[in-house]
Amino acid sequence: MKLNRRYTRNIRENLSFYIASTILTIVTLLLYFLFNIAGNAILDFSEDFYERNQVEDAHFTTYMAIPEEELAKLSDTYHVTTEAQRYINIETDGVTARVFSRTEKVDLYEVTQGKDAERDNEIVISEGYAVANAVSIGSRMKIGDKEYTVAGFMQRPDYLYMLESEEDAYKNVSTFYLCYMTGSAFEALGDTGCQYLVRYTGDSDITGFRKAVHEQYYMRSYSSAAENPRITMVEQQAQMFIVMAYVLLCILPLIAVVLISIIISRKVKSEQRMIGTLSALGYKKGQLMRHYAGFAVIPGLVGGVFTAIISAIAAQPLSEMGLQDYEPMHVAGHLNPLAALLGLLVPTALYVIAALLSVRRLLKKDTVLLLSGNADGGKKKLRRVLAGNKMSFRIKLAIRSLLGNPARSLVILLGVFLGFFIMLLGQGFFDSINRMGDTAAEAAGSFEHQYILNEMLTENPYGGDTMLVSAVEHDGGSKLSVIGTTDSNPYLEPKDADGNIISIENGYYITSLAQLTLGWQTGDTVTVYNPLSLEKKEIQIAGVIQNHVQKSIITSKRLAAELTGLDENSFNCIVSSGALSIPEAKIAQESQRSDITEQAKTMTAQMDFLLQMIIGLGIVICIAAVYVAVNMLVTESRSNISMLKVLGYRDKQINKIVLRTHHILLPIGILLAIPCTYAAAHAFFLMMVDYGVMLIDTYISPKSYILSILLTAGCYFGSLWLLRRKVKKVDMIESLKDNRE
Amino acid sequence: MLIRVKDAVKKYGKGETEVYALDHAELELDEGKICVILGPSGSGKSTLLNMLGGLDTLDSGELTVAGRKVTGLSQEQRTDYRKEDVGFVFQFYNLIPDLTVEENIEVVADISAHPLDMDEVLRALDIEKYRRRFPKELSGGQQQRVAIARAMIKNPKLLLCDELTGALDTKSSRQVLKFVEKMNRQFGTTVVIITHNEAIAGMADQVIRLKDGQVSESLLNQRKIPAAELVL
Repeated sequence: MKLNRRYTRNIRENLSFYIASTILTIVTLLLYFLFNIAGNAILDFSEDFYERNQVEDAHFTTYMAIPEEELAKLSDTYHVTTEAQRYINIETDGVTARVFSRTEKVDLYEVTQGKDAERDNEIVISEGYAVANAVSIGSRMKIGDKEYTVAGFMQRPDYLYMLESEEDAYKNVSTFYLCYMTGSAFEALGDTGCQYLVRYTGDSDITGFRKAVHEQYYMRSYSSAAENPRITMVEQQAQMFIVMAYVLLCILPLIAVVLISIIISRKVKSEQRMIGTLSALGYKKGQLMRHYAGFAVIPGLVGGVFTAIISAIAAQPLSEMGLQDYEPMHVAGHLNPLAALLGLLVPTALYVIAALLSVRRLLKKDTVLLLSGNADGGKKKLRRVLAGNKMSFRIKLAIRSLLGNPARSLVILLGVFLGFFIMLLGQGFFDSINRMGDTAAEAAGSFEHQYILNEMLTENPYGGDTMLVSAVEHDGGSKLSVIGTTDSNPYLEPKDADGNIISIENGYYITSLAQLTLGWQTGDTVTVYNPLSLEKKEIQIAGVIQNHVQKSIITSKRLAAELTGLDENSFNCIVSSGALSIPEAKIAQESQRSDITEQAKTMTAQMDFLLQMIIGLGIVICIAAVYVAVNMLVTESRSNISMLKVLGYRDKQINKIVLRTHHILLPIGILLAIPCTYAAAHAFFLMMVDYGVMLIDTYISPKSYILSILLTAGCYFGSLWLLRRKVKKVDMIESLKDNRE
Repeated sequence: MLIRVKDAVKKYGKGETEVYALDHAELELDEGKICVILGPSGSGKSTLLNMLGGLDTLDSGELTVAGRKVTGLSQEQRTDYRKEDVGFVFQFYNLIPDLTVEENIEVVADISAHPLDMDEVLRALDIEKYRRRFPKELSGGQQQRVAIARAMIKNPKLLLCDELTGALDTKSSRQVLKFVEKMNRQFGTTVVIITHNEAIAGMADQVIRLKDGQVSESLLNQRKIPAAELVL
């Protein structure tokens, strides 16, 4: 069709529209691709890595050592693969090396760089620590009194997220690392601890195995892989990205596609005289629909191709983007061809459909009306509001323009809404996690120091307040902690949802996080199991304590002892406001209130790049949407603008009349986005609870509000500023000629 | 003398496509009179109107309106000139569709230093009862009266009408011309009407014919007839 020569001319004439629409398509599709690639890369890697290196299904410790031949017997009897692993923690100059003996069946380590330790003076260390502390292969490292040469770096499947203790909330690659050495060098280290690693299959009798181990060797601790954050955090991270891609960010491309579809249909409507003329000249409906579909294909196809190219090029860095918290997993990021094809086809198809529908709708109208440009009356009633009102014509014109062109107004509203929403959401995540550092510490109690002892004591010569801390498993198989304390403990002040202090001594109280994740309610009778003996107990829930951080049962020492089978007159935890002089050998774990805050700060510091990227995307979406829509307004108001010029209005005055039309949408978009941001952030944090993370309360700081408002307003007014030139360029004589024609 | 055009030249295009829209045109118009400019398409009528109204600039020559030299004015000065001295009426009315009759007139009144009384103008053009109607709710003739009201509210020295009856039927055309005549009489406004329609020349004080960008004839109408009696 000769008519198709109009494409290049039309693109040239409407270049800014095509550029802005294409950018909008790219940016929003990129958000989807980015998180999809990152999430899937982690999942692909971990799945392969776990299989290759035989990741454990659980690990446990016992009070009595299990002889090697007995371990083999247990393995055969209960169809499990189990292996003992010895380890020792050695602190040297404030840095702890956890040295492991080599295993053959479970939790194998993989040398990722360099070579394995072959001589007694060689070691391989965890790669994350080496990278974070600039340790290179060949470096000399001191462990205890002895110096070793680093022969290589390693990764281990149950330590991809490097937690020093499973109770820690955040990784430690600055003062903690894993280490392997030759068997003889390991033996020379002296007394070591022992843990048992186990892998189950479909045939395994897990309950029988655990009961047998407890009965014969007294289980001290049992931790399943599903409860081990060093393992689960990897999948959580991947799921978080995929959830973000599909549930949250998938919405944005759809909204952007709707937005551009609206713009395209309005563009088609602005061509109604041409459509009328071509129809009068004998062009068939199908020919015209195909012709205008061609215009719509451009932003979709170009945007899709560019996004696919950018994603393919950036797939690797994008995949590594989410790995900052982990051991340097050597993921292979790639763009899924199906996702690329969908990214290319879906927006293009939607834009084409929008154009086709618009042309079809117009062709149903009278050709004479099309020729006169009056086929699309818009929302006539809304264009005539306030006819008798005494307010200035400027305000009335703006209101009628807003209400009479709902699609155009919606594009601007969506642009402001989306831009602000993304910026505020990004900062909301940041603020919430930062604040979680403080609230988590508060929820745990007002103590500054907490010591978990590695033995039960009946006398407390150290000071502070004592607690009985243990754990139970619920029907679902995951653990929740049991805290036995007294109402007089000055460091704990359990409160209900209304802020009233609760007496916990006469019943089993659960935290709000436990209520949320387990669905238990006050009055419910629930079944729990001793994680060591698997003994079954039924308890009735007496109430709920407001605490989104710990998944716990809080009760008196007596009831805690009853539940866990421990002695009610003993304790294994001391909390205090100051540091206590407890011998190192008696401490299993020591934590300070400031640790949690520090961990949250480190976490947000690592998120900084992601945050900047999200804010940048918000800015681009806001500018592009507002620019495209106001550009449309200026184009559609050409005859009014030229008439105002003819009547003696200066450019500045015209700008005020035309470009101010949508100002009201700025605060409306912002106000609408605020509850949506809270809802989205809360939904996201709730979703993350399913992956075993504490419930983070959504918090957005005043600084984030101000910054997001300023950035959104800056984008909005910046777009208008760019469009002043377009208003200035409207030629009075050309417009008058157009009207004559 | 209100308007003096001296040796006016306006060219469009370049090289082989160069066209003289005004080719050394000369004319003079008296204050308070009605002048009808006639000519076929491409004779330079609209270009002359654009120059008189300060919408465009001459390539050479001189244009003076009420002693003010319009040629040589900056863009801003030309904007002020249009705002203060000139009222426009176009063939297709060019009203702002989202504003009522009253509001369309207010658009001009709002930036005028000494606007006429709105009610007086609405009454004079017999559109008082339509003041709250939107342009699309009015007939072509009524819309053109609103356009005249909008042009007149600032009490301009010069009312420029470009094919103001071109889109109207005979009855409406006559009515509109009657109102233009009334404005000229009531407010003493100089009126320039550009048209193809020879019959309109009957109501003019002065008739100018343009051909190929030049004034081919300029004569005073000795037998002026009222607009109501025109045979259109």
